[in-house]
Amino acid sequence: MIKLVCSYSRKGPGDEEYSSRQYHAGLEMELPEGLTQGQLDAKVHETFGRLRDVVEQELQGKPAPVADTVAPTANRKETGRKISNAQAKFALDLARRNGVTMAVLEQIISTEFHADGLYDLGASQASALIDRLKTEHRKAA
Amino acid sequence: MTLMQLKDERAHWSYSSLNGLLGVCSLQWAFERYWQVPPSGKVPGALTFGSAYHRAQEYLATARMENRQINEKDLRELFDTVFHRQVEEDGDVDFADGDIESAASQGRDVIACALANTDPEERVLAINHAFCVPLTKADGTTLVKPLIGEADCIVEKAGKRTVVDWKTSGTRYSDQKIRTSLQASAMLLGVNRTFGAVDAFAFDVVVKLKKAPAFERYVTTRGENDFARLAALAAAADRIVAAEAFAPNDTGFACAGCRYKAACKTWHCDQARVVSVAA
Repeated sequence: MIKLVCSYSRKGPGDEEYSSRQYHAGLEMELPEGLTQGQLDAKVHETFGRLRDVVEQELQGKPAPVADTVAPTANRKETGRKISNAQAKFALDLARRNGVTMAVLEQIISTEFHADGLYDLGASQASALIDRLKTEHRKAA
Repeated sequence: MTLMQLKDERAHWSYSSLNGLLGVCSLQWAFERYWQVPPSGKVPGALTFGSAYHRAQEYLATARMENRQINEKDLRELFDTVFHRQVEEDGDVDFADGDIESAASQGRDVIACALANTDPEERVLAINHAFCVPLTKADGTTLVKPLIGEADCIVEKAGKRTVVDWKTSGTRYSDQKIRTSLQASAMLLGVNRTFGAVDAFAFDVVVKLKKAPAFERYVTTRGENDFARLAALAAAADRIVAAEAFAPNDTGFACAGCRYKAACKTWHCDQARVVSVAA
């Protein structure tokens, strides 16, 4: 499994003299196996750009739009790259650890991701599902 | 999605791959699927015959699903057409028991026998149902590679659903073969997880007897324990492949029609040569 850890920080003058204000955003995500160097570079570039935009918006006092993260990815039926075997195994193992049965997992996939089954999910939908299962795991812990 | 699309999409196990590696001959499996050595010799006639029979059965099942009547004469003609097309597609076919025309004649009788034994009360729900499902061991852990497969047909009668696999055979099936069939486990796992609950698996076999073909339906069931055993076998297969622990099954039934005989003969002398052929 390839893990991409991306962060962007920006330091600017604070409200008072000799003070500063720093903004930092970090993002950790799993990438499917088998990406080419070009695809990998593009993903890093895209992720870094997204982080930079969010930090700049914060600096300008404009909160980043909230809805443009997990939900649209989850609800959109993807036609491109599918969930990798590693992602599928990770999601299944996470579900098991959380006590989520196969039937419940399939229901989540059907109602929230509008896919016929785990292996019909797109790669980014799979990431969203994993994030959701991780959040549940943290809540349970 | 079709079986081919599913297969192209990801690394996987299938019933035929698992059976080839664990049940038939691991070295033959390696030549074909791991080292991808080009096969030599003729295409076994049984393969060509089986493909044509399958196509004719698909046609029959589609007609049943759509409540269309189909008569024996048309079905015999259809078999003839698809069989000769299959011979053309396969190229150099070896009909060990006779020539192409005697095989075609036997095929016409076989499909007519299947038609005569069709149960009118049975409803066809699906044909060529492809699936991709996780393989989960008894301890709950999942294998990286999923199971991919395709069920020939799913039927329903009196509220009972059955996955049917179409076969032709030279002999009747033994109880042990039906009870331990890995194919039954694979198909029931895949269909249960993707189509909905099914009650049983059946081999619909037309036995090619000398006098006239005979129809047999062999029904079996499987449960979670069998699915976990299938996953454990796939995990064992993963370990065999990772270690490249392939060996010939010199007393196996598959030696007779094996298309890797030449490579197999010298396998123990120079394994490196086999790898270089495949490279």
